[in-house]
Amino acid sequence: MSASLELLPNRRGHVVLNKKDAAEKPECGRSTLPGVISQRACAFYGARWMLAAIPDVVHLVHGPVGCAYYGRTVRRTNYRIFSSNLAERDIVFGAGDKLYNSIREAVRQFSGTRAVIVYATCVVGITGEDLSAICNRASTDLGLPVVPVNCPGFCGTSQAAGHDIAVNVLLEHFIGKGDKKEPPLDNTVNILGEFDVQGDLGEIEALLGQLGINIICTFSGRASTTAMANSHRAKLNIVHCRRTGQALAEAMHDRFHIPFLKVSFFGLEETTAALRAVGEFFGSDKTEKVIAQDVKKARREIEPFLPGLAGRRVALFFGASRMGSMAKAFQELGMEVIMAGSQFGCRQDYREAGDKVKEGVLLMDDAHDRELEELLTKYRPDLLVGGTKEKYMAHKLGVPFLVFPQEMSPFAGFNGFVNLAREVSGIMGAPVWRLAQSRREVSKLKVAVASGNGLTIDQHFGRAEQFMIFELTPNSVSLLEIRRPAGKESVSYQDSGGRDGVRQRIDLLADCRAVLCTRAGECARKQAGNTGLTVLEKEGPLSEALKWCSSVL
Amino acid sequence: MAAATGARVVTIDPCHTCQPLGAAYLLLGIRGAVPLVHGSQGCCSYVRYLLNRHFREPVKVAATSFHEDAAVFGGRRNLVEGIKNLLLCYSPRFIGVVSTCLSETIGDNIDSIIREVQKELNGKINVSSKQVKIVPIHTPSYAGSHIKGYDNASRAVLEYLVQPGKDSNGKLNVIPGIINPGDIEEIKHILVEMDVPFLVLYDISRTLDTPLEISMSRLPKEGTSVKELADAANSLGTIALCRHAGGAGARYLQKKFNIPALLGPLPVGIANTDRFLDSVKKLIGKEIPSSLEWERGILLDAMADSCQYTMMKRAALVGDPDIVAGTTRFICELGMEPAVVMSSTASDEFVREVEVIAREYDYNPVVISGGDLYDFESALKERRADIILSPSHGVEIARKVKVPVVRLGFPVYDRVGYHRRAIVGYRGSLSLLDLIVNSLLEFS
Ligand code: SF4
Ligand code: SF4
Repeated sequence: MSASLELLPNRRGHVVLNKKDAAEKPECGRSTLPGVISQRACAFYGARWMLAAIPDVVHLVHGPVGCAYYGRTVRRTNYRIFSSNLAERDIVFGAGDKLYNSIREAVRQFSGTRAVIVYATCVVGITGEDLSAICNRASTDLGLPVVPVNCPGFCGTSQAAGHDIAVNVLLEHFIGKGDKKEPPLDNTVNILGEFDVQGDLGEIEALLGQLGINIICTFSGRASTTAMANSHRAKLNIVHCRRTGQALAEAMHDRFHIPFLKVSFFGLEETTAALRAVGEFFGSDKTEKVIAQDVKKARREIEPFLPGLAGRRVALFFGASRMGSMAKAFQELGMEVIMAGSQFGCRQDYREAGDKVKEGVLLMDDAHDRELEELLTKYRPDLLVGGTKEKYMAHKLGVPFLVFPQEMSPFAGFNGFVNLAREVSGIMGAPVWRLAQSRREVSKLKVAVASGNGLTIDQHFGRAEQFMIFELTPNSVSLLEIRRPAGKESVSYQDSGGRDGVRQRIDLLADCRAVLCTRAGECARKQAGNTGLTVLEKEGPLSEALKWCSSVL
Repeated sequence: MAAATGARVVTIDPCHTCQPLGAAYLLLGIRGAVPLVHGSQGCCSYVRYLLNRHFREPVKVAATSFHEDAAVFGGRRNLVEGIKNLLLCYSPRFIGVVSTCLSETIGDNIDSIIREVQKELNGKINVSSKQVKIVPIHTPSYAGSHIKGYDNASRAVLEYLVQPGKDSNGKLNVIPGIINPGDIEEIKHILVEMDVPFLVLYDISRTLDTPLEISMSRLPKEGTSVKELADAANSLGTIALCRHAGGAGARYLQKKFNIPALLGPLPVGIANTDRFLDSVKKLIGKEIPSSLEWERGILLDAMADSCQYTMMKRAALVGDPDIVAGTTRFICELGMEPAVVMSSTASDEFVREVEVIAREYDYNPVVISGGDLYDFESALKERRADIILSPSHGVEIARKVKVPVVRLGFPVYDRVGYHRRAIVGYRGSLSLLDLIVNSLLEFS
């Protein structure tokens, strides 16, 4: 079985329908096809994603000014950034001195800095400058760490390369640099792969707080150099995002013997499981009480939204490690996941997502603009979840869109789940989507005709054996289908001309504006009127009647 | 008066970006065009993201996606394959190949690669070079900002497309520059009122502000067509609204085909708009109709009504040079004092222009050419201001120094609808005036 999307030959392996037996998962981690509009970014972007929020260091982008201009904004927040602002002559004659001087000046401008992080961009990556040597020299002269991040944009295949590079930088230069002899601190954790989008970290912190657990350092939503230096004293590492946290956790396990747990705080079930795992680790006796109380509250609060969400179809396209847990969260809301994809998933991400969604669900790796557009038009999901770059395309096609990582309120934890429910139902329920459809629908009219012979109107409404359903537009009439009320046997307790027969016929024509019939009873007419169905009594040939009909409606 | 950026080497919080953005901005105004950024993915995805955020519109910009191998051995294969895939996905009528720092540094010869592809296409893929125009645009960003990128592209595209005919088409060319759809609509309104036949080159007004239609249309159907661009060589004159972004295109037409070119100033405020109308009149020979006099009168009336609020207020401006220079004159016309005037892209012309205005109105602003946000903030702290006019990146500074901010120029991503507003013409200036006055009132 394959997806009904048109795909370029090289892209076929990247799009598969989910099968439980894990074997068939999308190809991933490959270079992007040249010429498509990929949703991926570069390694430099990935490194900024990981490091930008570290508050007490100088962030210096070594390269032309554009990269720094863009790299200043991470997760919609602007962070102070320094740039060596390379000009043509620097590229021709070498930029080593310029970098060195830039570092010096930046440190002077930014008093209280604990370190300097120097990001390499594409141009620097090919001019063959010895970045480490320059950083070392500056470090010695200035007496503080000057750390090169070798993340030119062309590294790897996506921003994921930058995540990995940044992890190594953290390990090598920041983590566990505090006093090595200090013992571990009781009831403490680090959170790895959590970036505090819209207050997510606050939610997680509050939950852990109820269990009496404190966070030393969060990589890197809240990671000052001091916190990182002390992070080796945590008793447990909680991995919240595999992509950006797992490697870190493994290395910290090797180096400091800190055990780790991979959990997710998105969705009720996942959050519950996370708290249980962490609670169990620390032997907390409060866990079940906290869970019982919070889950009950959350369930009560999402209740009003559930009817509007039930059965609605959602497509997911964002950071790989969140696919599985978010898919589960949407399913908890009663929604059906029809696609899960990411710009940079790995095998394990797709396997995990595949386990959490039904068979037959589309799994798409590195889907590009054109494929997503087709997905939206052919599969018409009720909601697409993804990044800003996909948002406006969805809107043009009339598909509601939720930005994730989110823009409005925290989604993590029990409260976050309620926020998710509220935002999703608000976005999907916005009248604009209905209004956008209505213009096209306005000029179309669906009309039912009670006709047994197919040529003239010849039947009484309450006793009609069949209705022909026509679609009228200003310049066309087309027969859509023929509908018949259920046969006598299913309404045996009543004559089909009786009250139930009328009700049944009205329901059958729920989507029609009007029905043409020879006659209808007073009560039938009233009931129909209440549901917005106009009853028109008329006899004679169909064609004339329909013409008349479009002029009076 | 003019403050140099000083001896500082390091740039702190830059507020201009790089050439590919400007080139993409321009190319997105061509009907059926897709920019193809020749370099690594990041340069392209950042361009899209920024345009997405400003316009709240889908933006189709493709990349040739360099990875390690291309960075080392050259991006020829990426470009060839990229063009083919792009044709398969979107069947564009026009592809602008936009180079980056990386492809320029490794020395990819995009001109010759494109020629080869064109030849090959004539044989295969069912697309002849007649159906799709592929144009190389050199935008190495270590040599200039997004403004320069637009400027370079404005010339490169014309060089490639124009076809001089025997007869004049009787039209006026307008090259907008990096201004908003709302501005372009306002310019069109003025020209319609004057009954001037015109040709807006690189018209983003209907490609980057489009309706929700629920139909799958791969590329916007609007924008300036290739045919119209070819016809630009037969016009009566060219006005580049922004001297720095688009001036190169206008100058090219003048030099090559003797089409008179007028560069700026951006028609913001009374005098600048008067001058724009006069230029149009001179080039095309049409009178200024009473309807525009009426609009002028309304603006003057509003200026009179609000002068008690604007008088002696100190303003700090930052942004692209033409927008800032144009608006500085209007600020002076409002009886406000320009305290700090900074262009994010360096330009001597800009400094001269602002100095002329300052002398005329007898002010002594700090003028910074090509500064970063750190310069702006420092100058602001020294000179103090009552209001800041800037793109979204000035907003944090405004909060820090606790003065109101009026969002102006590109990009504005923290408020909605600014791309639909105009600041040009009498009506656009009026709406800018309302914003300024209301922000002052709101804050007091
Ligand atoms: S400055 Fe150069 S390398 Fe950086 S984003 Fe711009 S084009 Fe790309
Ligand atoms: S030049 Fe390289 S590092 Fe800079 S934005 Fe482009 S891809 Fe990223």
